[in-house]
Amino acid sequence: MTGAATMTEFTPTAEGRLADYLAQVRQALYAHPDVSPDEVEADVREHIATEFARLTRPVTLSELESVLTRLGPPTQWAHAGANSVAGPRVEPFDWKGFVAGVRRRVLGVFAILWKGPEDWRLAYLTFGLTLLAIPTAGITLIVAYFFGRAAVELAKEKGQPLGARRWLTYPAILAVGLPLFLAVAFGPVVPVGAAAAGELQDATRLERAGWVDHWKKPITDRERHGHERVLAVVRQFPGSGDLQEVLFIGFAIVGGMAAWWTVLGLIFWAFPRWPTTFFHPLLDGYDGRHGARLAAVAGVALFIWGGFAYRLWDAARAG
Amino acid sequence: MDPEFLANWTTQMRKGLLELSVLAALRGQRLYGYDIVRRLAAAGGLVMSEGTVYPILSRFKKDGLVETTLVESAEGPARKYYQLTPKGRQLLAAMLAAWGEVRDGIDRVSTERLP
Repeated sequence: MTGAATMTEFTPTAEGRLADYLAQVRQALYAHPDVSPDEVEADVREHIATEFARLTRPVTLSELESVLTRLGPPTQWAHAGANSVAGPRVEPFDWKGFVAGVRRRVLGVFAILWKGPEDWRLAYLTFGLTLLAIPTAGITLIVAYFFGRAAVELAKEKGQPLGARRWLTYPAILAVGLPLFLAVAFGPVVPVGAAAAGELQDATRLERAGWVDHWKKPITDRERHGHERVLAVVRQFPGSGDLQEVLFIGFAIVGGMAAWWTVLGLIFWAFPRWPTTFFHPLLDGYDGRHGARLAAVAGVALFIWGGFAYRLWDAARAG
Repeated sequence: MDPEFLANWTTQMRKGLLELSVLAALRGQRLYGYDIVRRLAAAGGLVMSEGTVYPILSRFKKDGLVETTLVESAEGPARKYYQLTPKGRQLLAAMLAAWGEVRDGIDRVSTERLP
């Protein structure tokens, strides 16, 4: 690609259309080893860039469409000069043509896999491994995720929009990236909630049993004192019985999340590339300041939570 | 006569002559891709789908008929210029000769009358 192409700016819809068109160009030419799709794509980009060289604003879809119309459908390029003079005829169904077309497409995909440009090869490999995740119980999905991320980064490095390749890469990226994001963002909810509920269950059971354990052996004073304090804290919440227990567990989760997000914010602040690397495309607009803000807001929330927790603990001791 | 036939025939004839047209456009000068397309389009619509020229240029390059050079442009970044190689010039001469024969032959059969 020449530099001219990189100077041209497009509206988002025009950019998407151009990416689709260039994907068609590549697809039309892959089965023709005597033509370099890279070179043709670069020439087409230069052609378009030259058309709009004097434009000082982004190219709109309709402006781009007029140039693409003159360039013509890429499906015709590879067959220039090979068509019949009589032109296309209407026939019931051309089975031979259909089979040849399927064969050409399959060979085209294999050509991409074996000798195609890396960005498309990665995209097809990603999609293939994503499909294989069904019979392999998701094992290949992890590999597909890494191939997909590599394809995205390669396109970014070349300054090209991902275009039609997003349909091949994003299923794997999202299938792994979204659960990973949810696990990292909200992961502590489960262990903190389970710990609070477990402590509550133990304290309640021991109180009902007269502070003896499973073997009817009295627990130590220190243990008993701790459990009594927990139950006293629970009774500081409004309502009664189950509602107090739910509020206690919820309160513990809020504290755990505030602490986790403070740590997470500090980590993301210190390593600003991590969120966009691991959670693309969910956190694409992220920069280091967002990490600092998250740490600050969560830190304040943790401080307020700590104040409430101290008051509850103190009131429980007095009660 | 089916009017579609003439349209198809004209299209196919132009497609058949496109390779010759591209080589001829490059005779004695170097041009960048966009310029070649513009010249062919301007010259009586020698090219129907402008994009068709680019795969032909790529094939010519692979076959050693043309070579490319990047040249700095006053309007911006470098442009890729195409120019004929000696092999390309030889082929162009042969194709022009063949084309001349066809053209002369058609002229002859359309003007000569049997005794």
